[in-house]
Amino acid sequence: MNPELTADALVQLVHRYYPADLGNEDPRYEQSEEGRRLEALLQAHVNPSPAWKEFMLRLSRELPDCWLWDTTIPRHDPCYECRVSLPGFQVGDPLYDCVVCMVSKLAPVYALYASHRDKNDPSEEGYWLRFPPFPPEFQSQETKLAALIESTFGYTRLPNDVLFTPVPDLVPRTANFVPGQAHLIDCLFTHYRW
Amino acid sequence: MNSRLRVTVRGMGLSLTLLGAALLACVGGHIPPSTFQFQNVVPYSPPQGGGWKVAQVVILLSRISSAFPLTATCDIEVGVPEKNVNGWVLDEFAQIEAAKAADKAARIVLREKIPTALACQQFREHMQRILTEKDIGPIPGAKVSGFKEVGVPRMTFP
Repeated sequence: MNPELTADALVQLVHRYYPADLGNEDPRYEQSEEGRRLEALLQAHVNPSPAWKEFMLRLSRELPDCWLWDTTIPRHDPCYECRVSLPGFQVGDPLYDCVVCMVSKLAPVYALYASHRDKNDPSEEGYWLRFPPFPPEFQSQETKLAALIESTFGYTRLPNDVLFTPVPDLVPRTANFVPGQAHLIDCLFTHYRW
Repeated sequence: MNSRLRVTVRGMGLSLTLLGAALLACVGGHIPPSTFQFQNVVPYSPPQGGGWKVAQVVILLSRISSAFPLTATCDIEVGVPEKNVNGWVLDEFAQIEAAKAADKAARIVLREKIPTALACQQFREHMQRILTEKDIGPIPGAKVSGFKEVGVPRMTFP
């Protein structure tokens, strides 16, 4: 295991980009050294990196039956993000299953989660998101996407226990969080998961 | 009806109208859709689709109450995809839905006894939830935050 990608090392890393014990509405948040460092990093990625553009092209070629949705919001979160539907989805279909790829801009790491939305199912099962292990019908997609990300970026996939390491003294930039809510996943990628 | 009574009735009518207006302002009023002027910040481009456009509004939430007065000026940035899982997100549609969500969120916040310091955060949270609620939210992928984008025209309400 790369010692720079343990939970402890990543917790230390994110403390360079988020000021401790400040809410994001506090004017000191963006004025802090950490806030400015994050701002500079986001600015550097306002236009997508060549690696991300290459990744999207590869996705379109290698998964032509999957609907792609680049959901990266450059000035919000330090990650690139794309929702890749399971094969056969057409825009407007009530059933939307996808695997969401999150690629960090802070560290050479990525994460995947599965998302299910069925407009015709009003029950609790009509909408969910899951971290691994994915349901069987998502696993082939998961394997392909992991391989594509690793061969395009050379990044490491973070396991659930690292992703959900608490960072109680930090608040992500655009989250409506109070201190105590955040985990590493919110700081390395995005809190906005759906 | 003699003229004095007519004037009195009309005067009462005017007072009631003014009182009604004050109450409306207290509960948020109706935000016109045109308050939300969306500007593209990430172009939609195949093969990855997506795209992103935002509107920025400064909204005054105000409740006149002796027990729980509230005055909060909230920075509201509403972002929506150019195209989402339901199809193209047209500007007019986004404006109407953003305004409806803002109205509802304002009513919720102004009804509850939230400390002023948390009012804007709660307002944004409710507005985003209303826009993206799992089965019925009109704009999957929408996001409501403080001001993050630059160079976007900023409106105010009221």
